[in-house]
Amino acid sequence: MNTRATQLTAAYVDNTISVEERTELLDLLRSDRNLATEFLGQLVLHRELAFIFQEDEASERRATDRILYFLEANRTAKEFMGKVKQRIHPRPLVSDRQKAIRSGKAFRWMVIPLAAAAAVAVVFWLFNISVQRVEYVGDRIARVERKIGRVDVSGNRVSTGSDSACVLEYGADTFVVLDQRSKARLHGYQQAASKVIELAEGRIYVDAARQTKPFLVKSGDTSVEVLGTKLQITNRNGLYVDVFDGKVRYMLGDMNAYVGGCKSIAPTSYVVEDPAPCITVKTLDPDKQLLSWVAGLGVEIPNIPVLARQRTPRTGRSLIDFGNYKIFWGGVWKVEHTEAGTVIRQEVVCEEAAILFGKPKWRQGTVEFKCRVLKTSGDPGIGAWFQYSSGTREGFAATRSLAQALKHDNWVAMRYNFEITTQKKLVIRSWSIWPVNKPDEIVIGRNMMSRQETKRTRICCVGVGTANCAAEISDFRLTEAK
Amino acid sequence: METSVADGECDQSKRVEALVYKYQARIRAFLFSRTGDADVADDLAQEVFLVFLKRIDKFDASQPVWPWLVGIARNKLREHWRSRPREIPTDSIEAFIQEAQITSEEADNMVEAHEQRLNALRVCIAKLAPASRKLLQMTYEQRMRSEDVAIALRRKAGAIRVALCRVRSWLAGCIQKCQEGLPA
Repeated sequence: MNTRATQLTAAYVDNTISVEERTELLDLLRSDRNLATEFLGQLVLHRELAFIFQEDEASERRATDRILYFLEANRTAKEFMGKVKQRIHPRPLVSDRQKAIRSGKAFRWMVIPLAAAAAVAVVFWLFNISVQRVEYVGDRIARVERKIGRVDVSGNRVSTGSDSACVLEYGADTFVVLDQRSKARLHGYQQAASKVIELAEGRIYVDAARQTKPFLVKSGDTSVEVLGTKLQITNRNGLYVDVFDGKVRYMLGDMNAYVGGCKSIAPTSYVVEDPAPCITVKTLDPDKQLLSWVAGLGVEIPNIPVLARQRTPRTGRSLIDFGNYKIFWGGVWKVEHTEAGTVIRQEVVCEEAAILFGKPKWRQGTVEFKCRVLKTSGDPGIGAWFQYSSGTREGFAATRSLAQALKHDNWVAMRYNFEITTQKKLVIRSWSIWPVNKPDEIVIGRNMMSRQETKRTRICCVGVGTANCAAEISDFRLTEAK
Repeated sequence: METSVADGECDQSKRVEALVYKYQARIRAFLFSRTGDADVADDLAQEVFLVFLKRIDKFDASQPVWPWLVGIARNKLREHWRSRPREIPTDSIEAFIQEAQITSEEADNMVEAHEQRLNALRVCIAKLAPASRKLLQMTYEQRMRSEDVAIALRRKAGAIRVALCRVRSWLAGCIQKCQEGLPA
């Protein structure tokens, strides 16, 4: 590889190659077979190095869990759909019929309808399928529109067993699908002021048009107000809410968050050390198996948007792992990956809330971000937060200087240059705050020391926190980190 | 009887978990080295284990698992590459890389050696000069851009990129020697 080829290869691998250089490199690769082999070797090695250096036990555990979840979701969906196909649609699959046509054996045309009819008769007899039969839950609160296997209806309670499921018609334009091993209680709609479904356990899918009365789905201490939407709620080892379309209001204790389509709320599994109640909204995992159990019941799900795959930045350009975060002191945090970058939002006004990214591994660096205040109660504060590997956290929120900068522009830029000294003391060597549209109106401070006298270590991770306000943070980055 | 069935299922799920935990990193590393996209590698890894579990009854337990898994991964890669050409402009470096990778993967019967290759890479990294190892750590572990590395080391960004390229070339040679059993 000559010098020029080395330069071009290095620039390509580093993703700093210009358009002209790309053309030049492509021409070189096409004309020189050896160079192409060497170039490919460099590329593969670059990727292997990236992988080797980024792997640790936590990320391996996460990857394993993701794969196991996928395998389990696939298995349960397959099992369930298999049963449903057997019982509700016992006709042969299209592909099987096409195979029969291609084989050219005419007698199969006679065998298939006869076999199908026999199968339908046997399956009906065996499993007591009720597609047409109508049952009512409670005093005509809801109608069991369709069911498989044995569905127990007692008063306003509906429960399904390990091989049963049902579709309920619950007032005008509302369908509720109850999965296997689920228990729900439906409260009066016609007479009552609201629709309420209590999901004790299991999984339900709700497809509801815009409601004239409040419509709540409750599970434990959590309530979800359905505001015209399609959503799935799962109460198995924690409560999961997947919103496919429309909007819901998610209420946990005295906090609530509006969650739109393609978003999901999972149990706060990232909160390891401080289990304060908090709501974390994430982009929905575009796992096609999410709704296959509903489709298997013959329920059509029109207009489900194509889910965008969540992209966690792994380009090597960001030192912040936005896919791995911890939230402290509550708040309603949203981490959204947009075309323009990652946007972090804290959506409720609370005394203190903080989010921290990645694992502690920095001794010094510069934290930069832009922020704007969405709502306040009292003097708002926003600033950089740090957590040591010992678990101790501390934040440096700007209040007076933030108020000063906010006079000029809604968006304020902040920069903190931090260092952990050999005495394990975190020092903000310098910090600056300025309105984004007026960089000259800058407030600068120096040598802000940490105040807490708690257990600290020499490495920390970084994040951002708010005080007395809801805020949006963008362009959050860490530079010059060691 | 019911207990034994339940225990059997429990054992089975534990075995699957242990198997996934043991091999997922190597499978993902293999897929990532070929695709260069961590998300795609993760998706394909899921598919690989799914196929493996579907065909587990055909698997001879006396044989090692890794070649079987990597064989499935190869097939999944081929499927992925064949489905991708529509997304990439034909007159681009990415299309050239993809075409070259399909050809080399089809010709390469030594994919099973990938595991040894990664081990050799770890050995070779340990043999690097401290300055070169620091350069790799800054780039790959701390994910610093070449511009930032250049500032930290008081060198030019272009020089850092070329230095990295040379370190990789050295590592490639070292890996080859390790695999051939020669001293690096």
